[in-house]
Amino acid sequence: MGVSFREKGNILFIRLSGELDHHQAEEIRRRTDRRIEEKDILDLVFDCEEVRFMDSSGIGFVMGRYRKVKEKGGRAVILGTSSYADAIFEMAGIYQIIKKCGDEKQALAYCRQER
Amino acid sequence: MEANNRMELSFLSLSENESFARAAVSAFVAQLDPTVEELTEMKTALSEAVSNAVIHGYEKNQGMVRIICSLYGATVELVVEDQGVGIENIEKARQPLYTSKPEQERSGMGFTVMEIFMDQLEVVSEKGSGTRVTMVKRLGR
Ligand SMILES: Nc1ncnc2c1ncn2[C@@H]1O[C@H](COP(=O)(O)OP(=O)(O)O)[C@@H](O)[C@H]1O
Ligand SMILES: [Mg+2]
Repeated sequence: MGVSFREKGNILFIRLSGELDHHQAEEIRRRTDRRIEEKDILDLVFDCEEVRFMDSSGIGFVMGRYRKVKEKGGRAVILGTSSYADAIFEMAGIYQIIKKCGDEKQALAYCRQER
Repeated sequence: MEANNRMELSFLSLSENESFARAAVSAFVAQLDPTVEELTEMKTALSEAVSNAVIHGYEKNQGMVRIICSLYGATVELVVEDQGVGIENIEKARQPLYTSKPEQERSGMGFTVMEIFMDQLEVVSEKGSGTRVTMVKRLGR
């Protein structure tokens, strides 16, 4: 499992890949939270296109990070999902809470709306 | 009913064994030639049951997690057992979104995933002596 990051201003792009289970989620959560603190992140863009396996730990990871930025007025969007990630997000009703965007432009526009 | 084939696997309740358990069961059920979707669904349900044994069953302690996978024709039965703390109220535990560990970012969706991805789910548990989860999936339907 991998996670890689890139920033655009206060927006953090979180790119997940490989297998996201309970074991991997703990390490990814630590690394993501550190990045959010260090780079003074407000909004999150989750990219799950390269995820090859996901169980309900993925729901916990995404919702947990979302709650974290929401406390300070941030937003989160999901940009791209593999069929594995999509099945779990759909089942958990995540898209009712976190918007799914078709492309990066849309994701950026959503995050940059007036607060 | 007699199983056509069966395997048993026991391992210490370490989270790094979750991926091992999925890989082992996948390799075993491959002989039934499941579709990619069926295989993903079984792996995900198994992952939920195994991680529950690790996280909730044994908590900070360690113990053995046992998996028994039986094949009956085109039907796969997966049993996941622990000898951990057990579940006091199974009905409540099975409800979507219920979790006893929200602080660990559990979503409470594990049993729901097992229920949706498998055809049958049975949970037997006793406080103080452990939990047995039995899941059945019929392939090619
Ligand atoms: N093997 C187990 N041993 C003890 N308690 C369990 C076990 N499996 C599940 N539970 C209990 O059932 C609850 C719901 O499980 P689940 O639906 O997987 O959600 P989650 O794991 O996200 O909490 C858990 O929070 C826990 O209290
Ligand atoms: Mg669980």
